[in-house]
Formats: sequence, structure tokens, C-alpha cells
Amino acid sequence: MVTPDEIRAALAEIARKELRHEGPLPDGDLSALLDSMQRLALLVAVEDRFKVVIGPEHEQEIRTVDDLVNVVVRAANG
Amino acid sequence: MRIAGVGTALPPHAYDQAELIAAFKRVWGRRHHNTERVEALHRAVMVERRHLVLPMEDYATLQGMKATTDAFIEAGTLLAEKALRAALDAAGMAPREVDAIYLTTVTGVCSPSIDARLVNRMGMRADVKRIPIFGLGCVAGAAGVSRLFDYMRGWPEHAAALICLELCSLTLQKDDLSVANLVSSGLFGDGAAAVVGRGVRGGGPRVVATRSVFYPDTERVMGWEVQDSGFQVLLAPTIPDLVRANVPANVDDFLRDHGVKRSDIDLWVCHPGGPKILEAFQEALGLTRDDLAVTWDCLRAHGNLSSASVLFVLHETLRRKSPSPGARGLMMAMGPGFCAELVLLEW
Repeated sequence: MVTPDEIRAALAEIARKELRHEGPLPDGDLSALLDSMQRLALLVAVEDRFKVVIGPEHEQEIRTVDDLVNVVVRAANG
Repeated sequence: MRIAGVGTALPPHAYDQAELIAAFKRVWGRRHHNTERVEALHRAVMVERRHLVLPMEDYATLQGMKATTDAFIEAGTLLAEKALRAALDAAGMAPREVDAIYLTTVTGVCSPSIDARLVNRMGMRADVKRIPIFGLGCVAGAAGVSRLFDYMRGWPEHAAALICLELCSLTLQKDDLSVANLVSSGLFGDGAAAVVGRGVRGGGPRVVATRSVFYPDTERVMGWEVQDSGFQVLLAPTIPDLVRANVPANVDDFLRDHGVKRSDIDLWVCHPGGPKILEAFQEALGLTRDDLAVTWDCLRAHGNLSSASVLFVLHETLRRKSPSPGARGLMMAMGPGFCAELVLLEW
């Protein structure tokens, strides 16, 4: 069972490694922070890290980091 | 210095991006459980076709530095020779007329370097000066032209050649599932290009001036992490930000020193780094997609060929545009360091 805190910690690491983002994860709308390639890179890394597949219908739900955490929680925990 | 001739060479094995994506999905399907995402990344780089130095099926068993280096030397020598011969033909020159050769690559290491093998194969003179350059990566096409320009200032009666040889496919790390490697595997292709420069003789565009720009403390933006298995790519997603933050001032400062404005540039000879980098160039410099049309076309047709790419763009620009006398061009590339190189051209 993966917890939201574990996912947030892993996301911070992914953001640092793949997006060169230092510091706390942002609260705002991801579309204002990431271009399409960066968003794609983030999703590739997240799927690989948690061994999940985020389908197009769930991808549409992701507007903020919290949304991403929720989608990964559902996908990882079945 | 005048650019008396430009030549390009592509290896014989050409594949549509769709064929390559299908092959990558087979390889990475066993490791990365969402290969649709790999496909999305490979489509996002806007490459339609790439040439590979080996038939696609040979890469499945190609492993380790010895095998890749052997392939680099064997196929790379032939490809470099083809590019140099094409440039010499364009300049109307024979190999024995070349006084100095620069060879840039970042995709293979050998000693003697490939340029030594070219001297033997092409029957160049025994007093030819050889300057192999490793490690500049994508900037080396433009930086190589700059170094040629430096050489010709000292030896204006001479002729010097630059060869950019890049076999990016040989560096593929099949076990690396980092985003940088997934992107690179969809973006980079194989090819070679050459330029022949002459001092006092010959036609072709004149190199007016060059400018190197180094960005301090950006070593982790792009490069290789050398592993036992070969070259593992380092490619930060922050390159477009670096372009936006620096390139306009770099270009304007350089041009101003030579009495030229950005609006005076008729032809933009830009290295096709990737879609996001090209969009950043356009946005930062106030250019249209049409201004970089040749660059976009080269990206689509061949992928990013590292140092050779900007010379492919130059070659295609010369072929398509027939610039009128007095037209100005700006050649631009960026690469590991992180750094940029600017070359002001005049027809």
C-alpha cells in the first residue's frame, strides 16, 4: 500500500532529477509550470517509479500535484 | 575565411520514426510497463525519419565499449570520408590541397583518431595538420567553423577542412530508462558533414566573425556520464529556459560589436536541438517558424545529428536559398559546457 506522503516524497525526487526543480512541490496549476514535454517527462518518470499506468481518462484529472498524488494512489493501490 | 564547400553524408539504413518506435517498444516493453508513453515521447520530438549506421536488428546484440567503438571506427571512417569528399567536390578541390583538418565527434573515441584514417584513405599530404576535437557535442558544428576561421586568420593562404562525425545510435543505453535516455533515443540520428574553408581564394559565404559564450556552472545541463556500458546521456529539461534567459543578449551583443542588428539577419542557420529548444529560440529572438524552416525540416528529416546537424542546415540553406550578395546569416548552436557558439556569415 503506497501512501500519499510516500508518493509526494518520490515526486519531489522525480521533480529534482527530471525537471531540475529544487524545493517544495508547487501548489498551483501544473499547466502553468510545465510545458507539454516536461509534463510528459513527469508522467513517464512517475509511471516508471510506481509501476502504474495512468490512462488518458485519469490524465485529464491531473491539474495540480495533489491531483497527481490522488491518481497515483488509486492506480498503485488498485 | 570563405566557406568554399559543404558536404553531407548519411548512412544507408533509413527508418521512419514509426518503425523505430515499434522496435523501441519491443525492447523497452520488457522493462517499462507503459510503452505508449515511450511512443508519446518519441512523437513529441517531431522527427519523422532517421538514418542509422547499422541495420536496426544489429543493435539488439551490440553491447559494450569495444563493440560500439569497433563499429564507430569502421562505419564512421567511411561516412566521414564521404562527407569530406562531398565538401571538397563542392569546393572544386582535391584532398592533397587540404592543409589542416579538424574532426569533431562526441559519439566515439579512438586513437589514432578518425582524421588520421582519412589522411591514409584519401591520400592527403604528410604535412597535413590534424586537430581532433572531442566533447563539444551539439555545439561543435558551429564551434568547428569558428576554429577553422581562427586557423585561417593565421594561415590565409591555406585550405582547412572541418568534419563533424556523429553516430549517436551507437551510444544508445538499452538499460537506461531515464527520461533523458528515452527522449534521446527518439531524437538523435547518425550522420556526418564537412566544410572546406579557404582564406584568400574561393567563393562561398564569408565568415565575418565568431563568438563563443560559456554559461558558468551549467556542467550538469548536457553531456555524458561514462559508464562501463558506454555513454549515458545527461540532458536537462532546462535548456529552453537557458535559451530564453541568455540567447537574445548573446546574439545582440555579438551582432552589435560588428555593426549588425538582429533585423539585418536574412538567414538563420540554427542547430536543430529539438522542438522545445527551437520554439525557445523563436520566442526569444522574435523569429517565426518560417525563419527556422530549414532547421525544422532537417530535424524532421534526420533527427538531431549533434555536431553535424548545423552543417546539414547550412548545406540545405545554400541549396535552397541562393542568397544574394550582401545577405547576412547567423549560425547558432549550443552544447555541453553549457555553451553557445555564434558565427556571422555574409554572402
